[in-house]
Amino acid sequence: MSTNPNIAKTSMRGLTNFISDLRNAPSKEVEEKRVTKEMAHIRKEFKENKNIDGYQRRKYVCKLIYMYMLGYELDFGHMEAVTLLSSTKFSEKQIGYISLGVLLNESHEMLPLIINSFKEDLMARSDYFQSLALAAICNIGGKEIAEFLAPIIQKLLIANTSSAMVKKRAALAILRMNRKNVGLVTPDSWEERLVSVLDEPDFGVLNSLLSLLIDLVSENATGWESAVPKVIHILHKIVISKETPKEYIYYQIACPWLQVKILRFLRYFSPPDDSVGRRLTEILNQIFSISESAKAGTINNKNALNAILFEAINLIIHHDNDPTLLKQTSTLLGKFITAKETNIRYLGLEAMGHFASLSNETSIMIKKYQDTVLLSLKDADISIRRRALDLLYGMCDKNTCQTIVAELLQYLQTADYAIREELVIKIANLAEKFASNYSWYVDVILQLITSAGDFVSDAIWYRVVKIVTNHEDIQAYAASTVFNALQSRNAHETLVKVGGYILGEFGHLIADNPQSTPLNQFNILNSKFGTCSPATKALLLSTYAKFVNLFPELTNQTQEVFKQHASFIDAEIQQRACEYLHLTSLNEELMQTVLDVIPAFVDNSHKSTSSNSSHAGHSAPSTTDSGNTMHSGNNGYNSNSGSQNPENATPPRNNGLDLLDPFALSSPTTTQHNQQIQQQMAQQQQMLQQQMLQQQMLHQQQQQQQQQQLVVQQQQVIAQADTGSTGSPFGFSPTTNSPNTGSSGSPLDPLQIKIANAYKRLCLVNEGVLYEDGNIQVGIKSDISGSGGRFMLYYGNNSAFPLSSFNVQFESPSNGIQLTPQSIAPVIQPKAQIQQSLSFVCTGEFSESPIATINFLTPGKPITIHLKLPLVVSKFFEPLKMNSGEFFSKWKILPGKPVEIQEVFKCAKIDIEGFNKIMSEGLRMTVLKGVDPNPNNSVSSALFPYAQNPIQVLVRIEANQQASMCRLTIRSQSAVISNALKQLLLTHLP
Amino acid sequence: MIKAILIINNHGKPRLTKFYENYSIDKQQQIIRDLFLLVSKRPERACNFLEVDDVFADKDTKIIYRHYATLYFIFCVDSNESELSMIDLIQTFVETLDKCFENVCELDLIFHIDRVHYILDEIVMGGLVLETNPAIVVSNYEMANKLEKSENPLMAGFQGVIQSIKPK
Repeated sequence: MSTNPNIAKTSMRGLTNFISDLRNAPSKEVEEKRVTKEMAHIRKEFKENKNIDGYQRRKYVCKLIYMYMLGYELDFGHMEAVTLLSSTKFSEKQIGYISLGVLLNESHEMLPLIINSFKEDLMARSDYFQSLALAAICNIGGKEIAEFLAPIIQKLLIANTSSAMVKKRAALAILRMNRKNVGLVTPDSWEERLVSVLDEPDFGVLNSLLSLLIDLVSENATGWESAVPKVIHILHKIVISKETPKEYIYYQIACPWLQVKILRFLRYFSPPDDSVGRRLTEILNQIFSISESAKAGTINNKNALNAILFEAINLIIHHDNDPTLLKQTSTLLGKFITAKETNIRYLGLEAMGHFASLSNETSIMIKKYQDTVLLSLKDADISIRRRALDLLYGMCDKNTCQTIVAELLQYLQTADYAIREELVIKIANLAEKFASNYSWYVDVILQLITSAGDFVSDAIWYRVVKIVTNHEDIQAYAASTVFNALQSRNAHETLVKVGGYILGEFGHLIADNPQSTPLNQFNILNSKFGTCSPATKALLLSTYAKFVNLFPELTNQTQEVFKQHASFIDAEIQQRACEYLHLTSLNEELMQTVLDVIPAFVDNSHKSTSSNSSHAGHSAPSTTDSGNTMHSGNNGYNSNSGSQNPENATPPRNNGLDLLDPFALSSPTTTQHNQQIQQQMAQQQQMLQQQMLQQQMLHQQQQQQQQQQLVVQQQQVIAQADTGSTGSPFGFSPTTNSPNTGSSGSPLDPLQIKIANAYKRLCLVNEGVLYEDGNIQVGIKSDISGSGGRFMLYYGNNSAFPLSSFNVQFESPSNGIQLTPQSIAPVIQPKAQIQQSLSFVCTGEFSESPIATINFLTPGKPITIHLKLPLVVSKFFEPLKMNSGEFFSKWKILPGKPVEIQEVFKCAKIDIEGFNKIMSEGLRMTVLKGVDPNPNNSVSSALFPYAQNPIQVLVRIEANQQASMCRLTIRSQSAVISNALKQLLLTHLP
Repeated sequence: MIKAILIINNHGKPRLTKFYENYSIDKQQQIIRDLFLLVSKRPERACNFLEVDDVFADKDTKIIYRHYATLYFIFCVDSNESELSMIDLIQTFVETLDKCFENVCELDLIFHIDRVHYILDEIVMGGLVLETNPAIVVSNYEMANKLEKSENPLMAGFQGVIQSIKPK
């Protein structure tokens, strides 16, 4: 026991004592008491001690982690972890991040609070801070973080300035974000950039990048092909030219992890051609020969070597294109499955499973190892037994089936419980799949029930019943076998069910045999009756009813049973008993019809249900769900086969004729049925389309009518000529609503200019008149805080008449604004004013202002007015003060398009003070005086409250007095915000 | 991907737990108990891989574990990880701990839980292998220690260390 003295000095005595107390606790109760006491103490400290310092906080968080590890739920301490995050001290930040990883998960409510801390640290200039943030994102990042931080992290991965430490973390962070926000990384936008990072010399970065690439191509490899020659090149450098940095040599093996990753990555692509393909073959051969010539090294050396070798083998199996290598592989695998090391045997069996499923040839190649594999089935280690079972299942075919199933049945007797269920399913699957005669199949299933009845699912016995019903030639055999099996004292209940069913149907076939007279059949079943579950009892009652029909001599015995159960507590049994009692004593003809032999099961599960329902038969096998299970065919026994890889999951190849698939599952009837459904669906779709078309036409007509009205009225408000790419900042634009009507107003309409000017002015101030004419005046007052606010709209009647049918509709062209208007009175009396409140919430970025459509009637004619409401991005701005250093570090982190927007504009009279006034008073930005060294320049900043993560907006105006030109630069994380702000500034500044 | 990394001692006490997937605290404790029961019953020379589908309620789960003196190092992984690579990774983790703590033992893990987490975070991040080179992990760890000391007011005389520390 030695402790580093350096560490001892900095570690905390309180923590040490606490942990010692817990370790020395004589009982769980004492431990719990101590934990409760400590939690109370820490909670009190956090709550009451305002001067708690970083050192103490760190100590407490350490304690909390420890308690959490022991399984104590923590309902506090999260906030403290978050506070530590924003510390500028590395040690505090670090412990904050560590506890975050332990205490929080991606859905924790606290997460939105810390996104900003993540961002600050990502943008910090310290590699350590960046690394901490990346690690946390990787551990707990969710969708929200992915959406918000992906661009920054992408830059960190690609930028030349990032250190290897940061890059390798950035690659993994991107992987995590792509998982949480699927579709974030697409080949079109990322391929070139990611593939270029493969030129990176650092092995740590390459390793992470390969993890990222594997994750991407495992979803879909298309679009990433250009990485293949590059990674083969890297592998070539490692394996053939032996260019590996010394520190990446692990027990004499050159970076085994990277080699493994590259080989695994190549699995997702088809084998490369030409020179690249030859290179790969050269590498694979070299890997084989290295491992062959390897001397007995340490265990770690061997492990690393084999890790690469197995990965190479799996790649060869995947590619399946090189007969020489495949042959070598088969030999190697044969060696592996007899290896001394258990790990190697395990991997050998696993790989052989993949190998066997490749083709007939490969499966023949490994036939000779069948005995070894059978031996492995008796290995001391369950891991090995499982692999061997999987492999045997894959190796099985028509010729070997009987041997393998016999072995498996024998193994089932002694197999441990952990593996039995899987074993039963596999045996049943194989027996059915490769059976050459039915009687063998029935034997196998009955043996299964006898030796492991608890693990035989209903699906399996439904299946055997069904097969017997459908094949006359085995019915007598099945009946006598099951009758014999029932003689056992402790026959499993599943066997009683099968027996009940089969004897009820086919017992008459063996009734002539003196051993199995009808009375004997009844007696053997009835001897089990008492100990059975209600479901089985119900089934047996049906059997007895059938017996009455088949063997009238049993009427007395059976009716006795029915009578006993006529008032049984279980409703199902009671009902059956009463019904059968009457059925068997009243009307013979009816009874014969009802209790007739179950006809053969047919393909369609619905039909089978309905055809059986007319006979009061054995309920279990004829219910719909059993029908479904039976029809699910070869894999009908819920394939809980425990296979790990998709390769393993493939069922064994059907080399022979599938004797026991009498239902022709792949028969054309199902396809026909599908086609019918498809046709129906197509018809429905056509009808739907027609309806939609009609509706559209109606809608268009309405629109046209409205447009005509507008033209006549001359009251419309029309868009001024476009001043910018995103459309007019003024007025409304009728063309967006109705592409089929031409422009219907002149941009120089004085009313238009008036409206535009009012809007422009109101973008900078909070109240004023938005619109005025002879009929109406519209005033507006705004009140905004945070991301929500309210407009008060005042509608005054300027005319001498009442304005009736008055209504106003609001619409926001951007999704980022949600409007909730208050209702208003429908009439405004002359010279009167009504008001309306319109609340709004900003939920995201937006560029277009909302539009109000005012409709009312003056005597004689309807009037419609469209007005843009002065709600622009800057209305939500919150001032953001920062010093010169902060400003420029932010400025530098946000370069390039689309986040940067630059525009040069001409300005007749440049007045920087005037600009600053507009910025601060009109646009609510903070003008940062003295930040820009040039006094002729103006810089300002603001925060746009975007959900929980405000967006920082930085603006810089550089003026050239001589040329009367200005250059405007806007940087923010949102192109939409930047553009909207640009439009606004260009309208107001010149 | 690695779903969880656990260090459990011979008596079933957890000494480090790190879950990369979202499990409730009860589920976590359940997993720790179940896995300990499974591995502690296995003989020393048994296979280091064990399929544990039922423990995680997830079909695709294997554990790769190694037993060192008083501690079981258990990595729970899915089929995307190479088993032998994981064995190597456990070895790397142990060697790194050994270098950082100079002959690591169980007590080091207990009393320096924050540091063990830091070292693990240098090797595995978000369930993926981050660094396999112990030298780099150790040097990052030492840098972080220096940074930390320089910030500690009790350990004056380290002023300016921050400036002098430039990561590789």
